[in-house]
Amino acid sequence: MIHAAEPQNALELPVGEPIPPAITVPRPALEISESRIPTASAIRKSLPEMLRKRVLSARRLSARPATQRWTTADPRLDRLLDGGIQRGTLLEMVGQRSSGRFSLLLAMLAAVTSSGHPAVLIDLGDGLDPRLAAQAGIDLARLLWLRPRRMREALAGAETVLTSGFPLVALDLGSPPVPGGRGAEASWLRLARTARDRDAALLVSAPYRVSGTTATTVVMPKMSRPLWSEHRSGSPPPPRRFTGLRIEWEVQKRRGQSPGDRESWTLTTAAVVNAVDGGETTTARPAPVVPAPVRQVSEVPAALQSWRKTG
Amino acid sequence: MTRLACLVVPLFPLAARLRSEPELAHEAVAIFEGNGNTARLVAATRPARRAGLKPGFTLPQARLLLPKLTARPRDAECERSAQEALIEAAETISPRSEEAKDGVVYLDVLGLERRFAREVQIGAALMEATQAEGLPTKVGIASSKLAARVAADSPGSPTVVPPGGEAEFLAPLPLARLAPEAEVASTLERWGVRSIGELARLPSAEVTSRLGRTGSELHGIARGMDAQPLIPRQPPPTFREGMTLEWPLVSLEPFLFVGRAALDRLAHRLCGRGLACRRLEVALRLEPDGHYERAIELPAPTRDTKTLLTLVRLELEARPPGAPVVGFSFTAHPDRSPETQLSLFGPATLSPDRLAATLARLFALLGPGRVGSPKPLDAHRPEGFQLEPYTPPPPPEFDSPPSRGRGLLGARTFRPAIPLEVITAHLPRPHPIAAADTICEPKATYGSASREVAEKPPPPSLRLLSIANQPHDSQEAENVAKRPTIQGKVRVASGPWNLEEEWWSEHPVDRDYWDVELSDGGIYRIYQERRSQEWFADGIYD
Repeated sequence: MIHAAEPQNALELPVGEPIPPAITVPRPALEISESRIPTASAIRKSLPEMLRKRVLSARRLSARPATQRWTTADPRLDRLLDGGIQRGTLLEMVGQRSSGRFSLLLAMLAAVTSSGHPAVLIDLGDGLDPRLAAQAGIDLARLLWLRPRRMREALAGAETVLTSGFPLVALDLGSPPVPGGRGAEASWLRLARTARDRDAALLVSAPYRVSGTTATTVVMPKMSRPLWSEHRSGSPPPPRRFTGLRIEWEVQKRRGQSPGDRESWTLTTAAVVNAVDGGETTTARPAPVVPAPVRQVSEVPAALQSWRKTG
Repeated sequence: MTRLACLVVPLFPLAARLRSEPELAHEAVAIFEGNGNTARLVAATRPARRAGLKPGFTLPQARLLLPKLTARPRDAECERSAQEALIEAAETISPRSEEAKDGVVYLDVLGLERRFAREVQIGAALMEATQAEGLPTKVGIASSKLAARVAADSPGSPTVVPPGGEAEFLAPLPLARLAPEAEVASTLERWGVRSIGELARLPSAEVTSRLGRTGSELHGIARGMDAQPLIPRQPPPTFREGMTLEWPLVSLEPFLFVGRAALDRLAHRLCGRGLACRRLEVALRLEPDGHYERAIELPAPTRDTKTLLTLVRLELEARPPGAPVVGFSFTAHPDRSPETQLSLFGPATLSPDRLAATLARLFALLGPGRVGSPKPLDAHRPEGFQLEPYTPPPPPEFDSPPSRGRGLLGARTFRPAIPLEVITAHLPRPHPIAAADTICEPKATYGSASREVAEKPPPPSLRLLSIANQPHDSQEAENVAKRPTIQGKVRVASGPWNLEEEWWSEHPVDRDYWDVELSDGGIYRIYQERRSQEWFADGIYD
């Protein structure tokens, strides 16, 4: 004979017992005196201006506050990212060699650290040049630099720093081949959830898609063109110099919105920036650069031919 | 007037052992002193005592009565750690303490009226604090050390002797409790003095004139006055925990199992003082007479046991002791965590404690030289850098907008530089001359430490045709697999740009740099060593 198991929980009903009707408690009419609302607003007015926005009325408590965004101080990059770096999300930047991916990552780190926030760079490719990072505007004292050797260490490090409360974590996988491949998808899912729970921004810079479906935004380069200084005449002719990259990036994925936004801009080499600054590293603006046509090695430039003839 | 508390740990050798092995607390355990069959029982747990074990039994005698007896040797390391823990627990109530002997501590409790209304509460707080360290204690409070010690031994702890009542409290005790010298004891016995009270009732001047200074001190103690005041100890600069193992350990996991408990106790003691570990020293005693000592520097003070254990694991894995381990000790050099003033209006900052634990965890995960704050070297080599401990400055008082973007093109540095095979062609014309569609111009230099290029003979004018990773032998295959592949025809090249520094050193840097655009789409920064004429790629513009 089979006996029904006794309920373990006091709230659990024995098998076969009819379910009692739900107890309904009459809800009292909501009595909020309208005259009290001005009092609350008066309290808000009495607060310093910076605190007023943080005091929400009870009516807005149910609404999830919009996630904060950091502006990158670059209007084109902000437009591409729909207003800036969104906290609580995973942003993946995918780009092959010389696509400007590392430069964009440095620009975002510079924006966050220069506004007083700490940030982490997990540099799997071990490619950071501190001098160049300082020139890019990164506050090195606020930057925690991790140099893992394997993908497993990089992912574990990312989870550790996200859990500890860093508001911005940038994970750069370097140039291919990436040691450790793409990493387990479960790891990316866990990282994305940790970033969401901790309200931190996780930037992933990779040569190919790694984070699967967990990324909120994915941006990719559409075009990347090197810029060389023009040929100029002279005897001997002055050297041509590599002056920068002309890049165009496109949003491949944006959760909840349609992708396809594009922005293009010019990145300038440090040598040109310093030349424009006169050696200063403070208020630099990239010099206008005229792109030179790319020529094959087999071609002999006309200027060179004429120089040979005259020489 | 003084008020002293005496803390006594009954059966101290046993209590110290059970503190290290708490899982034995409810079993029949006995502590033996000595070796082999001559070892004598010094303390036993209640189940063992119920079976008839008494101090002085040899191990065979004890086994005869209780075959399942768990026998442990007396462990000096355990007892020393327990004694330190006892004093530290007592000092959480009052800072003035004196270490008397093993398991006995005197504490000055005068002036605690504001915190504790009654002295019984002081005793209860002391018992609670020591119990938290795994040491059950009895407490007596009186105006003299002897009275407090006797009160601690009496049943019903804590026992408080009211001020002025010490002589009356001590009076019924036998004179032997004062442990007089043999000559003095025999004299007093001839006088018919049997108890402390009888000695206290004798006239002080007469005792002094007949027994001298020793008799005077004994008389004072009998009347409730200490011969020596409390001498506060200086707290040691380090914290230490350890134990002697029952049998030698030859693998890492069992050692970490017992080591974790010791680190837990160490972290608990540090926490009681509001300190964290800055440097952890690991000392192992090896079989038969070896020693192994290592020091682990932590990037930030922490008392996170998991982190400390991971660091110990990494250290032992990297440098194994090479012999069975028979005992160990961990010594923590304490430090205070940096304190940070948080801002109400500025950006949120990290909790110093959490940051320290995080840094230590990352240090354990990635190893030394892999975690820190980057700093440029005072040099011009792109691959050079320094790593400093990560101590971010306090956040600004108010939120500030980020500085305007510079639109700077970054470059990834290859560490180490990738050896290349570069196919070049010398142009027929002397320098300066163009290569491919580029012009060589060595006037510009990257380093301020460079000498004038004009002093050197002009480099040969080159035309770069194609670039590829250098072929490698099979031994290098694993390293080479991690390197980026660089291969293609040179579309555009610009250079050479000379970089020369540290020409006075044994390893001078003398390179000719080129920026090259390859047919694979990459724009690389490559250089040729002037001495060896070898080519390397040390970065890619990205």
